[in-house]
Amino acid sequence: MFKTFLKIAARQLWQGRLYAVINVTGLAVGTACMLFAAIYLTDERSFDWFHDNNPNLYRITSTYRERGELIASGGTGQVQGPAFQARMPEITHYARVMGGDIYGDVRHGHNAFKLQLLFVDSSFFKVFTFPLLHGDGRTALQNVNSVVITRRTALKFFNRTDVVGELLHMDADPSAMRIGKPLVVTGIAEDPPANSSVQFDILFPFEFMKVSFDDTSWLNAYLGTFVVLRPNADPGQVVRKFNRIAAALSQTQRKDHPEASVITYGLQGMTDIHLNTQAIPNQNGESGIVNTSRPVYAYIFIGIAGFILLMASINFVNIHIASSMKRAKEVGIRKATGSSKGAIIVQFLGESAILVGIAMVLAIMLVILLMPAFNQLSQKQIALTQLWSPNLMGWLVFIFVTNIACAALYPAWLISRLTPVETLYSKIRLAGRNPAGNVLMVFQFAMAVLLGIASVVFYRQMHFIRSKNLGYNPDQIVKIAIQGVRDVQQVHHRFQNELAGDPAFGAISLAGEFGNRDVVVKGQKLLANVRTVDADYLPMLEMKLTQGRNFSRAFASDKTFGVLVNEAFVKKAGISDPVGKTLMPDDYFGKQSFTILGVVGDFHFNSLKERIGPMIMPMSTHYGGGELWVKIAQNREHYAISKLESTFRKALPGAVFEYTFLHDANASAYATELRWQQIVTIATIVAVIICGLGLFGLSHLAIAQRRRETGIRVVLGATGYDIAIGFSRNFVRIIFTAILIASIAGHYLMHSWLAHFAYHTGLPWWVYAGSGAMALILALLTVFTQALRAAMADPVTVLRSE
Amino acid sequence: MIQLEKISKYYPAGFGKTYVLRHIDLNIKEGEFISIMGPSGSGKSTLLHILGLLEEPSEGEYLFLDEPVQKLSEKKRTELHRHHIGFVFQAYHLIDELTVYENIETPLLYKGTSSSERKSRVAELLDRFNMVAKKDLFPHQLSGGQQQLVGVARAIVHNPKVIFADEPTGNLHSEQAIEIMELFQKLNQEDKVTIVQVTHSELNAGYGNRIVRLKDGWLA
Repeated sequence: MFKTFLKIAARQLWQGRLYAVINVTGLAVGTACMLFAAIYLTDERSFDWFHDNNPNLYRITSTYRERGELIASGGTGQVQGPAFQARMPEITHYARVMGGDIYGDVRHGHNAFKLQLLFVDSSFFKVFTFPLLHGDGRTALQNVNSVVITRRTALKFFNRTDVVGELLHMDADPSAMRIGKPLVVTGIAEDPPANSSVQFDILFPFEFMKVSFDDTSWLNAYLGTFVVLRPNADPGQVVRKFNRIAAALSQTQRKDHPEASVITYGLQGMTDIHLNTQAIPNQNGESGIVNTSRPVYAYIFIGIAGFILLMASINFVNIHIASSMKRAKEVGIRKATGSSKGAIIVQFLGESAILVGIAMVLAIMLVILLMPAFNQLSQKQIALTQLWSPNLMGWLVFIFVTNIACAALYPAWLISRLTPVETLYSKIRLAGRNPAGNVLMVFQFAMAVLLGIASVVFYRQMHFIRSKNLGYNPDQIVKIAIQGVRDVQQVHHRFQNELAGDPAFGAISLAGEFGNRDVVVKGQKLLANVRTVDADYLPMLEMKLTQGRNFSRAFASDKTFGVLVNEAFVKKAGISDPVGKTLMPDDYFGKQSFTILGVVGDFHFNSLKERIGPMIMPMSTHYGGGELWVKIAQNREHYAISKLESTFRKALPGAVFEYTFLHDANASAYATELRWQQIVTIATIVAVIICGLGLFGLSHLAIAQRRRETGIRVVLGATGYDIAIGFSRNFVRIIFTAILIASIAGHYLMHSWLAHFAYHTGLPWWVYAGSGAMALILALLTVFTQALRAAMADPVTVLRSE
Repeated sequence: MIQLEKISKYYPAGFGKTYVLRHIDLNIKEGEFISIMGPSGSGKSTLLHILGLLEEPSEGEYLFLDEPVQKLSEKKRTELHRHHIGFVFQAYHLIDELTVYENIETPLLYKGTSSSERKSRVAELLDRFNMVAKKDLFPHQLSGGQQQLVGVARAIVHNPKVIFADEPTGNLHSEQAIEIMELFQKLNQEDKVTIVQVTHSELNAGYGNRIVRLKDGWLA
């Protein structure tokens, strides 16, 4: 029985190989998309599960009020960890971790690298599970100048890993300078896995950082404190104790700073950190945690993949039902010769299972083939060996079963209901009318058009971003970072002297970013972005002064008391005649009044996602800065960069030369958007191909089944055009309905997407019309070419062969 | 073996009903060879379908092997098909994707016959019908008469008690028709298979031993 089924299935597939190819291709692509989505989700969910202390491993969170806003942070100060552990038996270990966004230049001999630094308590290896290749985790971080490096760091410096006892240097680090001793490698750790929220190249003892930054405040929240609780501890109880202890111990400090917000502490499970960004939307750059994500990405990804798979299933269903006309007779005969309904369902399901099975194999091959591209697109590092996890096998089975359920069950059930009398005496015609099929096709095309609309809008927005006038000219500007404690003025002068007169270089400006700070103006406090610049900055970037003047070397006082502001600042502060007015930035700038010299036309110092906010610019010539901004001549980039590097090496021996083109730095703000644009574009192409294949198959079937009718019509005098119109009518109706639905859905979706950008393009009508027209043209082309060929066939042979 | 009592078949038409068969009483004994005759649209085929359990009557009682068929579940009815009923169609209705051998084998598969028994049974029929050389051909490679031979072989392969034939020679020319009818006669006389055929031809009806005539759905 089984053998005959196989045999008939094979012959059936061979006979309908065109349709089989269409079905298998679509399903394979859809399944591959779904597998990638599953791989993505699996990886996202796998973050931080490798720590042995789970589920008792938590980080302490802080919630406080800032400018009226409730802020949840994954950070604490330095004091909470030790204070809590000393008073609470529930905490077996704690480890403070500072870093994530902190990088520094580490040198061995003449080799210097910029490394990701993490300052951690010596209990780090007790709290987290990062195995050591060499050294002892219990003692590795006990001396103030001992460090643990990762395998890749060891290989970078020494080309080997057994390097315990080797020395490293940090020339411009405030702590290292104070300690005055080289760093001693005491351990080599395995590289943190890609699915770890804690990433590092080198670990320093917490004491090392305290040498230059000792903080006893209870009112801060910036570094990560991780605790291991006893298995039987009640986290709710622990949190209540935290808050009681903190309230008692912070009393005196709170008296000195009555303005400071009350902090409420909480616990967040280690494995909850990566995806639950709802709980902690503000990931402090120094809290030890990096690469947090949002589950919504995985869900959108799965959604898109699911829709593509669904579209392929719809092809399957429609083509199956349409081709069942031919199989109807077989079903009739089978029933007349003693087959039960169930046997027929099993037979048809079995045939579909073969197709689905082939598609699954192809999908796995596609996944293996496209893994590098996927890794690049998703910024993951998933190895092929990871594919054979039970979790993913589960997904595979799930997809297989759903594929069969979605794509094969309905046609099999439909066909099994046919009775011999109906099919053997042609009392019904299965071809043509298929309302369910029409609905499915509307859905399918609506998805394709919707994706088309999305990719057009994404493209338009990205184009808008690239071509928008930013208020300055970023062309040919290179930024060079100066890390650590350096005499930046001297470095700046050195560059100016070395490069003076070289036609490959324009201005060289020293600038620094100081983030958002409180500025007092006209008796009110407002938050402004602070950037230090010099007299060359504005002309080099072609920024416009709307009032007043630029900094000038002619006025010595500019250096210390002069400040430029942007128009947004003037507006926010409500100053009518800003030039000559005074303002006062926070402590860092010496608690003194600055005089506004000029007003700079608003420019986009942040991404276009954010409105231009207030900004003030004191002089870097006095207050310093960490970046050199250099204008370089066109077509001399190669020479210019190498010249900059050699100059940098002379000025800062042992430091790591790092440069970025301003264009690239700006673009990095849109990395996520760019990725989604790529994903949506790929999805659109895949969707269009699947829809096109499905339409091709369906129209091919319809035409094959109506050969006789076509022959008769041609004999009666119909032209090829008439025939094609006749065949296209239903498809055109379907596609117009789909365009309408997709336009409405697309309008809402795209509006909400564009709302993420403070500055964005519009949604003109032709975006919808264009996407729709593309779908329509593609569909008509598919149907017409086939219909014309059918009409061109000699009617006599057609009619005789019936 | 077969008893029909007041069998009627009608379809809803507007507010009324269109009758295809009216109050048919019919008794068929084992070993009979019956021909159902009548003009087009008289209900011959419908009657045959009801007899062959392909259609259900709207009214009346049908006993097949003394079992009231209307009360049987679909499963039970399929069982009857598998074991006791063979069909021969005017348009042969072979499965295009299966070879001659496989077409003949199909009912045995549904019946659950063992592989070796299937082989010998199919071989026996191929031999008897002189089709051994054609066993690997597909239906479209055969002439109409040969296709119908396969059809008949398929109808009897599982040793049914009764064969229902719906104008089995309607698509054949006279020589082929004679061959098929002689085969039927032989099956009836030698193998004791009950045969019920629908036919237009008095000549074909002559091979049987009773003629049932229908007119406008009534027994004439």
